[in-house]
Order: sequence, then structure tokens, then C-alpha cells
Amino acid sequence: MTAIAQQLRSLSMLPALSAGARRLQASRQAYTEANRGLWIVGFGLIALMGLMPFFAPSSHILKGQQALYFGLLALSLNLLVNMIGLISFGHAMFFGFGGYLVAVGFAKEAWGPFGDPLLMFAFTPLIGAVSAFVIGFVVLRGRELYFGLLTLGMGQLIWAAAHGWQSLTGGTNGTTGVFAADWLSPFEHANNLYWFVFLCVLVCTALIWVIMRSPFGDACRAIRENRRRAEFAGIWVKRYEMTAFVIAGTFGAVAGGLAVISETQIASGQIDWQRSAFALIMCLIGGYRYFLGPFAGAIFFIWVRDWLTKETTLWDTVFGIIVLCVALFFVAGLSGTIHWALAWLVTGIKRLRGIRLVDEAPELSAAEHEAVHLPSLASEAAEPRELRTGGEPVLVARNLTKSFGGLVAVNGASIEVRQGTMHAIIGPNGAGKTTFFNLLTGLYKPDSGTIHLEGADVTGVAPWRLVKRGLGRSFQQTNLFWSLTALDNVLISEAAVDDQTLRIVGKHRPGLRERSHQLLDRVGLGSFAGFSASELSHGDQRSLEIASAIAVNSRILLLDEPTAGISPSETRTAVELIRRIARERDLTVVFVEHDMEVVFGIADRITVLARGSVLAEGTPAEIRANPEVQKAYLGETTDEEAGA
Amino acid sequence: MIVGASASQYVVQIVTGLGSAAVLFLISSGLTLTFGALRIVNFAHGSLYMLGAYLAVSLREPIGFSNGTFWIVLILAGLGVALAGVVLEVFFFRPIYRRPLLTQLLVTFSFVLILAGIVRSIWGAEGESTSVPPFLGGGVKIAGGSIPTYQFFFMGLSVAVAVGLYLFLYRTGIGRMVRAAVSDPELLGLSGVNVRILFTGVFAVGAFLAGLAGAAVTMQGLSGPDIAVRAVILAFVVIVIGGLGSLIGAFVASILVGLAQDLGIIWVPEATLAIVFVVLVVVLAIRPQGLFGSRVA
Amino acid sequence: MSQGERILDVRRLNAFYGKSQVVFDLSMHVDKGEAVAVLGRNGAGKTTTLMAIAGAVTSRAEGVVLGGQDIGGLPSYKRVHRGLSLVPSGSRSFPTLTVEENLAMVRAGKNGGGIQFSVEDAYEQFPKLAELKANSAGTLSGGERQMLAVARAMLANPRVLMLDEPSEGLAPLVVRGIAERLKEMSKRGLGVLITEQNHRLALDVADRVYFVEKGQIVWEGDKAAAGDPDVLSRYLSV
Repeated sequence: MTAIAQQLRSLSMLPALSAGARRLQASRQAYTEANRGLWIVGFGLIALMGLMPFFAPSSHILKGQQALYFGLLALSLNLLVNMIGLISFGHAMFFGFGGYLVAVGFAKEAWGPFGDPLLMFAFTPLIGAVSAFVIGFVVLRGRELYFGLLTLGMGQLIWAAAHGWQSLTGGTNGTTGVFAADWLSPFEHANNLYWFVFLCVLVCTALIWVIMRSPFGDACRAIRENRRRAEFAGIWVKRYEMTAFVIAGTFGAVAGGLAVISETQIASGQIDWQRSAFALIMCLIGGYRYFLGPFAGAIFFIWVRDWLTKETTLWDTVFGIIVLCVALFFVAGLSGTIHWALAWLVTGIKRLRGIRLVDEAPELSAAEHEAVHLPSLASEAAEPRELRTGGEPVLVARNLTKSFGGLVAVNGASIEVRQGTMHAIIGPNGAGKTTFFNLLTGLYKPDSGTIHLEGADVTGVAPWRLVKRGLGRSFQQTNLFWSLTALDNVLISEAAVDDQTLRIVGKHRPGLRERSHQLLDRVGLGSFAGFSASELSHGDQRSLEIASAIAVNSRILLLDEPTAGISPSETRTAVELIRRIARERDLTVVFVEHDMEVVFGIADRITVLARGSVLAEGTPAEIRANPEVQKAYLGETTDEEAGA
Repeated sequence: MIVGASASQYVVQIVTGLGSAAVLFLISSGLTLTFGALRIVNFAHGSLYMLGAYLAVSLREPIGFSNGTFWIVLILAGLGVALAGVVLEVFFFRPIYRRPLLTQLLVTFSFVLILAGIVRSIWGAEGESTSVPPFLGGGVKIAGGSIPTYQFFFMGLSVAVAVGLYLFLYRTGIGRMVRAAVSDPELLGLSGVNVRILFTGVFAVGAFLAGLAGAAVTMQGLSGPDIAVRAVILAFVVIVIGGLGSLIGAFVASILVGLAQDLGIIWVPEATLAIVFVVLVVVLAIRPQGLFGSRVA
Repeated sequence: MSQGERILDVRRLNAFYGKSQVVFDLSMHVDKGEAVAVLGRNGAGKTTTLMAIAGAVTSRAEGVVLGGQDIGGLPSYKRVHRGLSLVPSGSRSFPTLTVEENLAMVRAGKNGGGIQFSVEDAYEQFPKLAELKANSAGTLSGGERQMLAVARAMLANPRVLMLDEPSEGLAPLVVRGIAERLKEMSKRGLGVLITEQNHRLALDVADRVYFVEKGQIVWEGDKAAAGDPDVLSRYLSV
């Protein structure tokens, strides 16, 4: 027993091992080069599907047709799963809306002269969009698991309605005999029907491709990567989620309409949760990180399941085991496998030709990895240190109070930040600095008190609205769109803040990319634009965080411990950089900082918090001279700081 | 409301609804317990329930289903399923606790498929006849209608399980550890508790309850392996309405769902299935974290 | 420095946070009755070091020897049984359980073979906890929760007690109280390993100090030498 147990346990180590092995075999460059091959395979697959009637026996054509509309269902689901990171367990409901719209109108003569299936098919995107919009209000109240369970419940509700409303839908027996048109008859003109389905799916796929590549798609990926950061890039997350949900519903309904036209019937069993689960499985098996992955999954699903049901009565067990293995050991799916094989091939060919692939990737040397790539400031003229008194007050908070349970974290704290100043918030551990900060940036709503931003009352206003009003922030714990490139991290923030990313077609406005690049250059990350945020060193991530906060076109910058975790020498450079950028862009900066040297070195004004209240406010000299502060703060930490 | 539904019909439907609620609670209590501690959504829970039912069918032949022996069948079926649960947890679920939600959902879902095929190949796709121990045979006359006696047994059993679980969680040392694991498993390990074994134990208890429920409902007869899917969907509805991880929530939501289902038969016979999900949507639209849920996940 | 009985000996520890390595070939030791502080900047790897010694994060070491026995390969709960207790940072407790239940959690474990410490002792040392024993831990203040956390760790009868930033977010008075308890128990033979931001507290409690930078030990010495302003500013940059 123990031997078997050990063996099985070692199985669970497989992903790590195989991942390691893969990295050894195919370098990052090989993967990039294999991308082209992957596209060739993809287009080959599309061509193969399109030409199927010329060579395949009719039984396979039928399966190909199924694979097409199920693939479209899975692809539309993947808009949620991969693009914005919402896992729906009820996507088959849209299949149902589209399907029943076509079927009921015709067979039940429910819509009178409008019952023409092709006419109704033209309306499937509309019913998909409208139903998704309505259902979205319910299901999008939940996040992650709750969203999954809510979609499951909603899907089952739609299924139960189709099941119970027999007079309309025919229940489990379904609605049959839906013939779209003579020229699309599955008996006499099977090939016409196939091409019709193929063309519709091709058009939808192209549209989905455009949407995924649009500025909107970028914003969705940002939300998938980091919801909170997205909010502080000025993104109204709910609106994007709703849009994505509606788009997914639209194409899901089209898939349902195509299914009915192909099969001439629909029954309630076709839209239950297993169908939704199968759509998810298609995404997984095909490789949901790849655009055509869902189609690969659908093709695999249709043919393998069909073959299994013929070969064995245990088809679902075998299929379950396949799903289990893919989910546990090979999340990249079929497309990932092909990609890997191609990368391997590329490496092999290059080796034969005697070219060694250099891995310029993130496995930088340890020293390199630790480094912060700050720009050299030596060439820039040294600025004399002068205190700024600043202009008008731009951020004013009065008597803010916030408690969690019984604990009062911030108790009647006020602050007045003047335009163009560097304003530090300091205080001993547990003084409520971070809570105060989160109140100022809209992450928490104050229990009482008011906040004014440039004269307007913004108390209790959502973060993304504050961002649009010119308030950018960074986090103490680095908070980035981890798997997106450094450039995209900045670019999406720049685009989202004036709703550029709501466009679901087209490209980012010209010049944006260059501007983002300039910003990256300014913080010293110019040569790292193409690296994903997670590959950067900690120090570079901190720089990127600050760049992202500036990128939202902010006039007021709130930085929560901008130098956390950076070495002292680098800290000085980083802080100097922040100061210069602030001067260049005429920014007002509010920052929380532990490093006293930094605070007294660059702050124009300092607010000292202690136990949730403001203990003192003034110029660095005033604060240093304040005996209260000495006692409560500096006395509790170190003597050295007091002398700094 | 359909004209002609008399007061007595209501009484009968309410009592029947409570019977359904009892079975629902037996299934969903295990699911919510597992979720609370392990934070994993187990789609295969309904399949474990189905496994319990079929194990009971096989066990009741050699052991018998008399007044004295039906208990043995119930307990043995429960234990058998608990054993299956241990295998599932140790070899397949343990590696995925820290994996993404999609992986978790699909791994547990794969066992819906795997177990469905296995059960079908052993016991066939057809249903099984009812079998009721003599003292639970017949019916109880209420308000002019007759309610099968075993329905009252279900109610008694689920109340016993509820009380038992409460005592276990709030009066025993291990129960205390389970509650601690719900809030901070890592700290529990740092307090000298073997969290792995504890999780396996919790999963086994959840599986046992599913198996017990499955074995008990064989008294109603068995329609086929498809009960797995129906059971798990309803159990999800119950624990989502009640609040994920909440035992009291599961209890209250079971009654709510059970009654909604059986009263729905009087009101809108066509939509009895839909009504459950309407309850779900309404509750969650008002309280997204469920009736007794403490946080929105 | 008197060479006492070596109670904890960590040899060439490598530890990981997620996928990235945070601690590199780090060796340190604690003698019986000795209090040792680990100081360093944010992100230097102090927390990961303690978590790795406690067995709560992935790590690899030539040896983690506690009282002569190598506990390097053991899971965290077994290390507790052998007498190694950790008070993790953030005053963690089981918020839904009462104070009494929180303390009872450890009694279910085994005797660590170190300082005997019973629930009664806990209430005696921290009278506040006795008053609050029927309250759920989630309702306690930060200071009370930290007392609970220390008491919980002591109940395992540890030979070595590790504390990760015990003063974080606490009022000075509470910190002083905890420091007094630590000194007292280290006099009774308990080995103490403590990380701190507040190095005043650390230097008050500790006999010996390690400075950590980038997951490696960069300085080691006794309390007096560590208190030197030059040393402090070099490694803590204050």
C-alpha cells in the first residue's frame, strides 16, 4: 500500500518535473519562433475544416459541423475564462436562448410570420446580448467561485424553464423538425449546410479575434491579472465584466442557433449544466490560453467521445480520466502540446544548422536579478534643495474616521495637501497610515469625515472615479498586471483612464505606445518593456508600480512606501527620481515612508500620525523640533533617526 | 395559485417538503463541511452520494434490510463511501488545493464522469426497486393524505446528523481543530496539529454523510446513476443559499429549498424545477454571500 | 560569550517564497537560555527564515538540529512536538474561536520537552487573557491577540521560541510587557529567536544579533557590538 501510495504521490510531482524538463529542452526564443508555426497549424486547421466536404465521408462532415458550433460555444466561453478571468458554469444557457429562438419560432409557429428560422437566426446575437445583459446583473454580483456558482444556478434556471414549459419548448422531447430553408436541408444539401455553418463560425471567430486584440481586450486581461490594480488604472471593472459577459452571450447564442439549424431540433437536455461543463472542458483540453484552443478542444471532444462511446461502455470514465490528467498535469492543453513540439522542432533544426539559441529570458544572473535599473541621474543638473510651500490645497481630508470591528484604525485624522508639494505621512507602526491612505484613495469608505479633491467633494467615491479625476496611487505590496509586459502595464493605465479601452475594435490611439515607452525610459525600464512584470526584479517592479501610478495622467500621486524592499543606495536614487518626475510633470505627491532620511530629505511638509490621529503637521524642521513627535514616534524607534 | 388546492393538500406537501429537505440536508451538510475546511468545491459530492445508494443496494442483499439490519447497511455504505473519499482526497484533491479555481472545478468534475461510468458498468443504467425496513413501511395519515413513514425517518436522521455535527464541531477537540482550520490552516500546523490528516478526516466525514444519504434514499427507490448530478446541483443551491461553509445555513436553506420544491408542485406544477433556482437567484440578489455566509468570496 | 549548550543549529538553510529563492545558505544557532535577534531590512528574508525553520515554507538545509535531533525533514506540526514554536507575524489567532479554545488547541498536541507552561500559567502571565477567555479571539485588540499568540506558542512547551516581529502594530506598553516575559523565560532556559523592525526591543531582549541582507547573514556579534550606531546604520539604513 505504501509503495503504491508513494508512487501515486510522485505522480503529483509530475507537473513540476515536466515543466522543468520542458524549459531545458525548448528555450524561450524557440517558443517565440514556434509561434509562427503555431499560426500555420491554426490556419491549416481552418482550411482543413473548410474543405472537409471535398474529401471526408458524410459521418465525419457531420461531426465537423458539430465541432464548429460547439467550438464557437467554447470560444465564446473562453472570452470570459481567458480574457477577463471569469469562470462560468452556465454558458449553455446562451446556447439555449439562441437555439430556442430559432426552433420555437418555426416549429411552434409562435412568432407567426417572423418564424422564419434564418430571420430568427439573424436575431440570435440580439437575444444573446439582451439575456446576458439581464442575467449579468445577477451573476456579476459574485466573484470567482460565487460567480461560477451563480452562473451554474442561472443556467439551471434557464434549463428548468425549458424543461418545464413544455407547451412552448417541448421539454425533454424537444422541438423537432426545424428546417431552415430548402437550400440548407441536412438531407439534400448537406454540404451547403456545412459551409453555411463554417462561414458563420469563421465570421464569429474573426470578430472574437478582433475583440480580443482590441484595447478593450487589453483592459480585460488587466482585470484578469489584477482586479485592484485595474481599478486604480481608472477601470470601472463591473462595466468591463458586463461588456465581456454580453459579448460572450451574443456569440454563445449564435452557436445555439447554428446547432438548431444543423440538427433541426433542440431539447432541454442540450442546455443543462453538463453542456456548460463540456464547453469548459473543451477550453481546457484544447488549451484555453491559446486563441484557437477551444476549437482544438471541441474537435478532440467530438471525435474522441464518439470513438469512445463506440469502443467502450465506460466512455465517460475514460473521458473523465483524460480531463483529470489534462487538468492536473498539462494545463496548456492540446495547443500547448503542439506549441511545445514545434519549439522542440525549431531547437532541433537550429542545432543541426549549428545555431545555438541564446536564452535572453528572465533567468538573468542572480546579481542582475537583484538590480534596480534606475536611470543615471548624474547627467542631470543637481537641483538645490528648497522647500516648497505649494499652491492651492488640492487634496483636503477632514476628520476622517474608520474602524474595523471594534478597532478604530483612523480617528478624526485630517490633512491638507497643497499643489506641487511633496507631502509625507509618517508615524510609528500601527498608527493607521495605510488605512488613512486607503481612505484617501477611495479603497475604503470613511465612517465619517469628508474628502475634497481639487475642490470637489469626493467622499466615498469609488477608486476608479478618483483615478479619472487625476489621482494615481502605488501600493506597499507591489501590485501589477503580473503576466502582462512592462509596457502593457503602463499602456493600459494610460489608455483606460480616458475610456480608450472601452473600444472593442481597433487599436490603441497612435502615439500612445511611444508615450508609454518614454515613461518607462524615464524610470529606467526602457530596455525591459517587453518583459512581463513578474519577470522583473523586485526593485524594477517598484519602479514599474510608480510608472503605472503616473501613467493614469495623474496630477496627484499617492505612494505607499515607494521604496519598500529596495536597498539603501538605490532608495536614494529612487526617491530623487520621484522628486524629479514630480517637478517635471508638476505633480503633487503624498507618500507614506518609513525611511526617515528619505522623509526629511525630500518632504516639503510632513503629517505625523499616531494611533489613528494627527499628532503634528509642519515642515521637516518643525517636525524635527516637535517634542511630542520626538516622544511618541522617534523615541519609540531609534535615536539615530532623531539625529538624521 | 391553482384553484382547488385544499388546506389538507398544503399540509401534505409541507410534510413531504420537509422530507425532501431532510435528504437535502444530509447531502449538503457534507458538502458545506468540506468546503468550509478545505476551500474546495467538490462536484463529485453527488457522485459519492450515488455511490452510497448503489453500495446500499448491493449490501442489502447479503445483510438484509430488516428492522434490525438496515442500520448496518446504512453505516457500511457510508463507511464504504468514506473510504472512497479518502482515496479521492489523498491522491487527487490534495495536489490541487493551491491550484487555480478552474483546475479545481475540472478535477472534481472529472470524477463525476469517472464515477458515473464505473457505477453504470457495475450496477447498470437502470433504476433499483424500493426496499423499506418493515417498521418504516406504510404511511402516516395526515390531513387526509398519506405520507410514507420513511419520510419521518429521513427527518429524524437529518436532525440527528445536525445535532451530531454540532456536538462534534463545538464539543470535541477535533471539532475545534476543524473550526480552527477553517480560519487559518497554516497557524493550525504551527500549533502542532497535522492538518493534512485533519483535512482527509473532514473529507471522509463529508463523504460518509453523502454515502449515508445515498443509502437512506434507496428507501424511495433509485432512478439511476443520474441522481448524482441532480443531487450535487441541489446541494450547491442549498449551500450557496445558506452561505458557503455554514452548517446552520445549510440546515435552513435545505428546508427552504425542500419546501419551495414541494409547494411549487401545487402552485406551478410545470416550474417545480425552476422554482428552486428562482429562490437561489432571489436570495443571492439580496444577499450575495448567502443567508449565513460571513464573507463574499 | 559563554559557550552554552547548543539547542538550535541551522546549517546552510535555503528557503523559497513561491518560486523564487529568498534565503541562501544561511546558518545560525541558538544556545540554551540564549536570546538571539535577527535584524534586517524589509524583504531581507527574515520572515521566510523563521517560517522555513518552523517548516511552514519550502526549504532545503544541511541540517536543522534541535536539541541534537535533526528536524529538517519534518512537517511543521512535528517540529512543534519536538519543541520548536513559532509566533508568526501579525498576531495571528483563530478569530472565530474563543480565547480558551485558542489555547486548548495546543494542548491537543504533545509536550515539546522544554519549558513547562500550562493554560494556568498563561492566565497567570497574561491576566488579561483570563478575563477574556470566553470572548472570541476576533474581538480582541492587537495587543491582546499578541499575548494570546505568545501564550499559544508557549503551551507547546518549547525548547526554542521564535517570534516574528512581535512588536508590529502594538502599543509600547504591551511590547515592554512581552519583552519582560521573554527575558524571564530565556532565563529559565528557553532559547529565543526573534526578528524585529524595532531593533530597540530586539537589542533589549537579545544576547546576540544576526544581521540579514538578501537572504544571507552579513554580520554576527553580541548585543553591545550590534548596538553600535555604525553597525546599525550600515545594516538597517536608519
